[in-house]
Amino acid sequence: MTADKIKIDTTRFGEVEILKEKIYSFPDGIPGFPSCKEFCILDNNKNTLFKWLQSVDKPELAFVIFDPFLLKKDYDVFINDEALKTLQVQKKEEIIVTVILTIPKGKPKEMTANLKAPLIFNIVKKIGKQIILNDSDYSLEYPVYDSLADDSQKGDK
Amino acid sequence: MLILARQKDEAVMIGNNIEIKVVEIKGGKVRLGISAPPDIPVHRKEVFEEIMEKNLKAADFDMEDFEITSSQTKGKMDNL
Repeated sequence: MTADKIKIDTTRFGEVEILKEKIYSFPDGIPGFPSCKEFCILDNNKNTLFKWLQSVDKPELAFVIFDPFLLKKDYDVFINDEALKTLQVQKKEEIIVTVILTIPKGKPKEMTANLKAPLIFNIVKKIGKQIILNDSDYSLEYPVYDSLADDSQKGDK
Repeated sequence: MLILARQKDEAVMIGNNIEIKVVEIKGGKVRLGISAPPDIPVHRKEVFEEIMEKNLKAADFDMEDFEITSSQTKGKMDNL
């Protein structure tokens, strides 16, 4: 193990070794988990559509995240001054927007995306924050299966 | 909890730079005008709670379900 990597324990993925540059600080935590201030990005090699956002200090806490623009090309994210300050954004190239996927237990086809509260990452400063799009009426439960399904796999499986 | 009685057009100050003013009182509804510095987040409490509940649900996913989702979808996301 080299100095630029650390090992973290996770419930779902076992012990994983990650690059330090994959760790993001969430100064405000994430609503529901205010004390979790550090998360890392885990790549999913089997399907590049999704990544996992894994808590560094809470092994059982992880989210599935993906690119909302795959669902809605015109997805409009307004990042207010408060969030820009927290994220220390200087130019917009530093920003990547993702959303959290919810997969109901036993009903993966009924998965939904939270378009109301995207996760914003500053990939240069390695800071993340979940923002709430107060002035838009995006859904917290936007159905995604039909938009993301691999056509060759569709059908009653 | 501090409880203050306010009439229409009266306000309370929180610290030096947050003002909450009663703009309108109608039926059982009160409209508030909030002036706060841009780095103070202001949300309706129920919206924040909804996001919180959604996050709790999203964090409670099973890998089995994820594998099914993963095997039936395709795409690529930006590098993070």
